Amino acid sequence: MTALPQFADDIEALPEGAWVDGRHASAASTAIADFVVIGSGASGAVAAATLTAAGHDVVILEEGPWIRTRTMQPSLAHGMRTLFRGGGAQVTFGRSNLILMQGSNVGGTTTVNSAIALRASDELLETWDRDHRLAGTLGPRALEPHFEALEKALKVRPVAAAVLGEQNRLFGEAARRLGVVAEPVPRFESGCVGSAGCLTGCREGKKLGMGVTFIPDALRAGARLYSSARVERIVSHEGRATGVVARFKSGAAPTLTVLARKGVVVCASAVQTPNLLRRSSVRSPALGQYFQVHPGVSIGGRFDRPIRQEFGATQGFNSMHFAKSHRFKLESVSLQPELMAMNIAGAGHTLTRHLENFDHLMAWAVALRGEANGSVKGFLGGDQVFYTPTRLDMERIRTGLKVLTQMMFEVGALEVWPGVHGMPASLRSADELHRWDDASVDPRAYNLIATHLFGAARIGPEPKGSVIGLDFQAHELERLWVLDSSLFPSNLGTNPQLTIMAIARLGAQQISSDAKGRLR
Amino acid sequence: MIRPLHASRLEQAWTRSVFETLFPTCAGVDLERFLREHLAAMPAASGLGLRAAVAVVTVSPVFLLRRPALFSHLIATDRLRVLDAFATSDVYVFRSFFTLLKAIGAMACAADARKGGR
Repeated sequence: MTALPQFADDIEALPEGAWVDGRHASAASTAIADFVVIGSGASGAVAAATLTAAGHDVVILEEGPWIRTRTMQPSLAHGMRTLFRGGGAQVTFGRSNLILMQGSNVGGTTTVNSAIALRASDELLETWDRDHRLAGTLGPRALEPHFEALEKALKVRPVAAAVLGEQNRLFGEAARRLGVVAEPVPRFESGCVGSAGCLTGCREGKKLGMGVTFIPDALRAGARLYSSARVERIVSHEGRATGVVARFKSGAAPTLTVLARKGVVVCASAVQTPNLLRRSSVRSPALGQYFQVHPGVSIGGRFDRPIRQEFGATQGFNSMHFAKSHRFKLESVSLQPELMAMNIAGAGHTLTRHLENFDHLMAWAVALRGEANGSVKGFLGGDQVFYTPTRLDMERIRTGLKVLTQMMFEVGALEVWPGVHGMPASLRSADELHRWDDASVDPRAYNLIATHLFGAARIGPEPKGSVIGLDFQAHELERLWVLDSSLFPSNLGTNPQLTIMAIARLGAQQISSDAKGRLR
Repeated sequence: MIRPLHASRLEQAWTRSVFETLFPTCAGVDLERFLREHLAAMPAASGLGLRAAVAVVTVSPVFLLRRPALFSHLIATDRLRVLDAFATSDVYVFRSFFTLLKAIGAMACAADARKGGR
């Protein structure tokens, strides 16, 4: 007797022939569709599902593999290798190297993040509208119905108390004692069991990432998915995008040519989209410019009682208390021992002794709405980011780390490890908080990470200063639309995926409506 | 995309000595397989950075300890002295080498460092 499908991404739950695994492709092939959607993450999955639901024939191309729920593994090494771009070892170039984290799999970063679903603030959307003359395209009123629909579809709700876990509960407790406003994180999940394993994909199938929601939905509605297929360039004819040429990531690496009757929708991320456009002969001066991130860094602490990071929501509590005054967000985070090791100074038996008492360790993080602008270029055969935080950015990060240190001592940390060059390896009490005032603000003193990526193909009314028009179409190439965070005029200050999805849904509906009318 | 070449046997041996110094629990890990799989997944710049870090640490005792010996030939306490010099160096590239080795080494070796494993 055949077992019933348990997960939405089980093969048995998908229409036959809807998915082609490019890792096994041996011969060149061709496909025809109304739309080609490049990318299957927060924007690509939503765009594909929206276009398919509207009756269009859609082909989805994803560079990464489909690591389905049933084949996910708890090992961080395995997760990094199979679910993250560059094995999780991408870095930015600049005054210092930031680790650049991007999912590369069916579902994109939604497979490996903490499922945090926060809206961009109305204030920010209004600022975009005013400063970039967007004529209401991405205004609060335009996005409101899409936020609502997505929150409903993805069952967004604050972390339940039963799966909060001690590291999240203590964050809330510390914030309350110090008068810092903090709240449980809203996430998309259906029955999280608190396995703290978001980073390597939810093996319980409870996190509602794109690989178990909008992608299977789109496939059941008639879309076709090619995974492990990297798009080399977008093909155009007489100023219109007409298809793409991709290459399967198999031993033989055959090509896949997809002809798009109505057009090409690019959702490849703020790093990959600009270079794909460049490879496709888009020559806008703004292409690759105005790239922004949320640089972040974590801090570790040791306690005299068990914290047990392996239980609880991966990220269960956050604080926007300092968002307006200092542009940073504070958050709790569960780290695996492999990552926690980076928060502990030293090496050898000193390090492994601490790891042996992993149950007593905890990490919290600060994420900054950085003011620095970087750029994205094709370099060394890959997509390269050039980015250096400003001095003010670093001063704010330093302030955030000082607040987190105070919070950790407030709830009983025996010691806190700053992890900043020039600072003591360990702080033993709140009496040492003043040490932060003299800490370096050189980005090279910090182990910074960038997980939220924006810009580099900005939206705007004119080709001067922007790449994408207010109809989401490239200024230079008709029927080439961009719907991912590369079109954002700036970073957000909050976790971006819900806003990315909302803009993708809005844009896809607009494209669909245009396709049924103006486009022939 | 440019990919770094496979690590040679010598590089694997050097990497093992660095990782085992960072994480003494690393002795039973199939490092050859780990390096093969990870170098294949890493971007060219990071893969080359890892190999450069291993090479520089390997020959560094000549400069740091004034001793004509490779890192892998040192006793444990001297190896830790060398790594500590990298970790606390005022030169960013040397600190970056330490951070990179610790990050990749942790993925290979730190999962089971806690009592009883995960």
